[in-house]
Parts: sequence; C-alpha cells; structure tokens
Amino acid sequence: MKDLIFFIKRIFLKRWILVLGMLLIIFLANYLTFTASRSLISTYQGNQENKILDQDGLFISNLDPDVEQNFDAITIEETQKVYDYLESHYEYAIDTYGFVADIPNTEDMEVSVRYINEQAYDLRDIKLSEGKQITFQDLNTVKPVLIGAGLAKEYPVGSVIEMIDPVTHQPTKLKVNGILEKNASRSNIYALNSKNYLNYSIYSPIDEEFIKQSSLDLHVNALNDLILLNSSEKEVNHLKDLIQSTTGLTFNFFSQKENDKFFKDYYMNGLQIISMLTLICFIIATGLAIWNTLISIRLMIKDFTVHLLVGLSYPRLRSILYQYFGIVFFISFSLLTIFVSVNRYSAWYRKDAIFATLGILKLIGMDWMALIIVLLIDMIMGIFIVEFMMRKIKKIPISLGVLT
Amino acid sequence: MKELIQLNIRHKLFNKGTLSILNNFQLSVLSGDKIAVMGESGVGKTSLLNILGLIDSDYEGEYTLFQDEAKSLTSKQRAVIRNKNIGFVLQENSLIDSLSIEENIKLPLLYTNEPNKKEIEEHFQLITHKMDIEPLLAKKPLECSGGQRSRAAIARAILMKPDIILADEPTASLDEKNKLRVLELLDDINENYGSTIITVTHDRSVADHHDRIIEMERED
Amino acid sequence: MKNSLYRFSDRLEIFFIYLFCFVVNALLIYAERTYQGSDSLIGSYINSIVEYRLIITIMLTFLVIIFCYQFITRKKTEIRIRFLVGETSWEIRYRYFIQSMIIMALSYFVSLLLNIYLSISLMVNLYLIFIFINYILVSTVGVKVK
Repeated sequence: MKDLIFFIKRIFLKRWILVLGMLLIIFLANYLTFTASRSLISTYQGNQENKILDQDGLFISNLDPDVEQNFDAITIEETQKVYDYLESHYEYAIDTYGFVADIPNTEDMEVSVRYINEQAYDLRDIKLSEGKQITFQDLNTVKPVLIGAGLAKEYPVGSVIEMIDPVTHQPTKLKVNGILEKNASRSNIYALNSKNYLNYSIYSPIDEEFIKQSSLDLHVNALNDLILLNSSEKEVNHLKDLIQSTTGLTFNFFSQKENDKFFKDYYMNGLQIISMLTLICFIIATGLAIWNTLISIRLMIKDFTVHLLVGLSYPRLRSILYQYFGIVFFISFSLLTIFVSVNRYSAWYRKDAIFATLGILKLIGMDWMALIIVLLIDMIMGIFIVEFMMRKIKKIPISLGVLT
Repeated sequence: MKELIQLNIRHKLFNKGTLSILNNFQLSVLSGDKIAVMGESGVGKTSLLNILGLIDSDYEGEYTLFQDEAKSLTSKQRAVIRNKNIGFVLQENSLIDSLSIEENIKLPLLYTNEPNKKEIEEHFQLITHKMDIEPLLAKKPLECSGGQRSRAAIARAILMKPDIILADEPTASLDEKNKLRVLELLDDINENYGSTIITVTHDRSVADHHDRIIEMERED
Repeated sequence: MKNSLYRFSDRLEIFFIYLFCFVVNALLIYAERTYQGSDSLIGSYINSIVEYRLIITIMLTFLVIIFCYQFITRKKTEIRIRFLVGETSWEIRYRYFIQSMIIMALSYFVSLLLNIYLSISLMVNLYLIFIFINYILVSTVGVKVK
C-alpha cells in the first residue's frame, strides 16, 4: 500500500498533466459509450413496448411529413365530423398527450394530462404500483384517473383532484384510482428511443361524449395518435380520404408490419451505424490512451529503473499500475455518473415534467444498465492499457546503463 | 569465507545476435571480497553488473547466488534479493531528482516489511552522519554537489546492510578528494559490514584499491 | 530546420494532433448541421454528442498540452547544450515558437480540405487556432535554460 501511495503522490501526480490527460480521454470514451448504450437500450425498450401493436388489422396514423399541413384553416365542426364517422364505422384507440393542467404539487411541476379511450386502454397493458385499473363506465361526475408516481404522495389512491380540464376548459373532479409504476414511460412509435416519462402525468379516460365537448387541440392531437383496430387497407384509405376532404390534413396509416419493416430498415441500420461509430471512437480513445501511456513511460523510466533496483518487482509494478488505473477509471466513471445525474436533474430544474425521472440521483434503469456497460468497457480498456504498459516497460532494457 | 557468487557465462547476445559479449566468462566471489572489474568501453562491464544484480537474465550460462541458481528465482524473489542483499552504487545521477536526499536514501524501505523501524532509523542516522550528508537531507539532488550526490547514492546502497555492493563507475565524475572519500567509504563498508564489493571502473587508481582486479578484453 | 528542437517524428506527431482537433471540430459541426432538429435514432444520438461540441473539442486540445509538456521535458538537456555551444536563450525560444506556429498553420490548412469537402465554413476552426496559439505561447515560456 505504501508503495502505491508513493507511486501516486511522487511519480504519477508529479506529472499531473499526463494524469489529467488520461482522465479526459477516458471520460470522453466513457461518455460516448454511455450515450450509445443508452440509445440502444432505449430503442430496444421502445420496440418491446410497441410490440403489442403487432396485430393484424391494426393501423397507426402518422401526419404525412412530406405534405405541408395547414392547421389554421381547420374548424372544430370539421374534426367532429371525422370523429362521428370514426365512431360509427371504426374501432379506434386514442392515447394522446401534450396538454398541461394546473395542479398544485410540491415540485411545482406542470402536470401533463393524457387522454385515453377504452380501446387504447385495453390495448396498452398499463402497470400500476398501487390501486386499481380505471373503468370507462361513468365519466361524467368524478372521473377515475391514474396518476404518475411523482404525484402519489400528495394525491394518494382515493383522493380527489380538482382542476380546469385543459381541453374542455371546464372545472373537473378527478378521483385517483391507481398510481402508475415509478418512471412509467411512453415511447414515440416513430422514434422508439424518445420517451415521455409519466411521473407527473395523469391518465384521463375519455369517450365519445368527452370528445364532443373538447377543444380543437384534442381533436387534432388525437388524430395524430390514432390507432385503428380490426380494420383493412380499404377502410383505412377511405378514412384517409375523408380526413383529407373534411379537414385538409393528410395522414398516412401504417400497419404494424410496415412499421416493423421500417424499424428493421431504418432503425437496425441506425443501430448498426451507432455501434460502428462508437466502436471507432472507442478505438481512437484507446489509441490516445496508449499514446499518453507511452509518453508517461518515456518520462518515468528513470523512476521505474531506480525502484526496480531497490526492490520493486515486475508483478508488484503491474499490481500498482492496475490499482492506479483503477482509481483513474473510477474517477472518470464517477464524473460520468454525476454528469448523467445532473442531466436528469436539469429536467426538474426546468420543471419539464415529461422528462422528470425518479430514482437514486434521478437515474433510471436504462441509465444504470448503460453505466454497467461503461464499467465493462472500462475494465477491458484498463486491462489493455496496463498490459501494454507492462509489455513496453519490460521491453526497455532496464539496466544500470539507463541511468548513465 | 563462504562462496557468494559462482558465475559461468557462455555468452550474452546483443543486436539480434550479431554481437556477443562475456564469452566464456567465469567469476567466483567469496564473501568479503573486494573486486575491481576493468576493461575498455563496450566489453560488457555494465552487462556483467546487470547479470550479477539480477536485473538481466537474458544470457547463456549459470549464475549461482547465495546457493540459488539465479534463473530459477521468480521475479518477486529477485526483487527481494535486490532490496535486502544487494546495494547498487552508481554514478551520481541515479538519484531521483524530484525526491529529497532523505527520501532517496530511504527508498528501499518502500519494498520491505522490516518490523524493526527503530533499528533502521538508527542505522540511517549513523550512515548519514558518516557520509557527512546530514545537512543535505531535506535538499533535492540538484541542489547538491557531485560528491554529495555520490555519498547519498552510497548511503542508499548500504541502508539495508547488503551482502554485496555493485558499484558502476562510482567515482567517474568526482574530483580527487571526493574520489578518495568514496573509496574510503567502500573500504569501511567492506570492513564493518563484511559486504562484498564489486566495482566496475576505468580508473587504474580505483582498481588498485581493491584486492582483486579482473581485466575484461574485447574479443575480435 | 537543422537547428530545430523538433525531430521529424516530433513534427509529425504534433501535426497530427492539431489535425485531429481540427477534423473532430469540423465533423461535429457538420453533424450538428445535418442532424439539427432530427428525432431519428441516429439524429438523437448525434445530437446528444454535438450538444457538447465545444466542451469535447476543448478537452481534445488538451492533447496539445500533453505533447508540449513532454516535449519540453525531454528537450531540457538539448536546450542546455545548445545554450552551452553558443545559442542564446532568446534564439532557442524564438525558433521553437516559430516552428510550432508553422506546424500548426500547416495542419490548419490541410484541415481546410475537409471543410471544403463538407461545405462548411472555413472559419469554424479559428477559435481553435486562438487556443493553440495560447498553448504555444505558454509552452515557449517553458523553453528555458536550467
């Protein structure tokens, strides 16, 4: 132990520029690895989440990105016509978001309200940590809702929340039926790695009546998140034409098989590119670390020689190097963890409810998994650097001649 | 007097086998011997000390040290012998510039689990007093003269009371006065500790100070 | 450059370090421009990196500091000997400064080829030049006879 402390204080830290350089290189490598790992994990999670949409007869709407859409010209009467037609001819699921309610809470977060109809609710297997699933029987008096884990302390199961509904602009009473799991999320169907966290969200059930009373915002948003069930290409095209002729908006409807193909072509390709980029960056980072190591050896060779003369053995030197690099990698890993945590905390600072996460250091499962991957990569890199360094030191003829 | 070293080298190769030195070199050393090794540059004097000091094991031959065959020793065993049983006296620049004189002398203590710290400290006081380097202990090597650095290097070599002192040109850059002083110190170590002294030198007057002189010649 | 402290291998090493910094900066700017506002998988990955483009690039410039530090440390003896054989301290420093600037400038001009190929502004790396000049100036102070 005393020789390790001596090496760190009197040899390595004497060339603190090299130590700092190594730390920066390792940190950059760690950050890139972490970012790639988390993207891949998030994409995988999103894909798993949306596997329930892999059903025959299921079509998902998507505003056509290649067409210029004019939202200003739409009227609520036009959109209501679409919903009336939907109601009578289709089985459809709506799970829409983007609405904010003024509900007091200790964190002063803007609470996001998600509107979901019965078909969408049955489609999504919403897991609860407490309470019961909501029913769609009586939505007129006190509405049963599910709330996010961030609101659970202030609004436990059974409590009543009063708010001005953001789409009907009417005072509404909500009864908390259940609490969503901590860090429950919804992935964007067309950007699987992009997630909204539901810790400060409310799932509010809706029906045909509610849609009639709600604003144009809900009508348009819900069309963008529309899922048709037990339908066919012919029916879908008919709806598409209806929406186009009634509102002027152009939508595409994709089957899950088409989305799957899209996923395989686009996402898998993306995943491969990300993996390749990360590997290249990792190789470059390792190369830079080796370069730094070679410089260190060049500058420290006299210290190594003298220590070898007075009793240091090569195995002990290897052990010292492993411990030293272990410390350096640990510092880098800690800095990365703090950095990621600060990023997560920034959502709280900005009061950005859909990105606010709960957990130790506000880190969630995918963050920890990505950090574990970084740890593994660090071990590989560390072993490589130390063994390379030992090989290089042993190759230099440690001789009394080195000191003359 | 017991036999400490039995060396029998067939050859040592350099430059991918194009250069061969120490061809059929034999050396037998008893404890308490004072041996000078002389020879022109490139004949293999430093290589000889590297082999004797268990730094270099890349040679053809046998080397028995303290009844053990050197090549059978593990890396750790070699390091322990270098720490406890062998002291290296090199030219003045074998001190580490970033450490103080005291830290340089006490460097071997990093690699030993000597329980008797008090005894070592007393020995340290004794040798620094003898070497007349007590006022320099807090200074860095670059703040000291060549003679002072040489004496500090000797102090480090004898801190652990080694059985063998290997000295590589210990007086090379010293004036006459300091050269004599170093030789006297080596004599003192030989008499009081019974350490075997093996000195590599170009200097005939230094060699004459030893009981035995080995002349190494280059083979053409 | 026979009076130079730089050997050919040293020049090559620092040339490529400068070039690496210029190229990485240019590539990050290109990526930022290409994937701006994109929420595709690659887009969000790239954006999470280019968000910190400035920090990453400045961290990479530390490689130049590492090089300068080890270079001056290794050259201490040579500097002292040059002084002993008749060169002045000022001349040694001046030559080191000029040669460092030349290598950096050459590296910059080579990096411009990438800027042209990617159709990005030729000015994007100017702030790096400013940083490198500062590093060279500071390291020149370290070129002294001991």
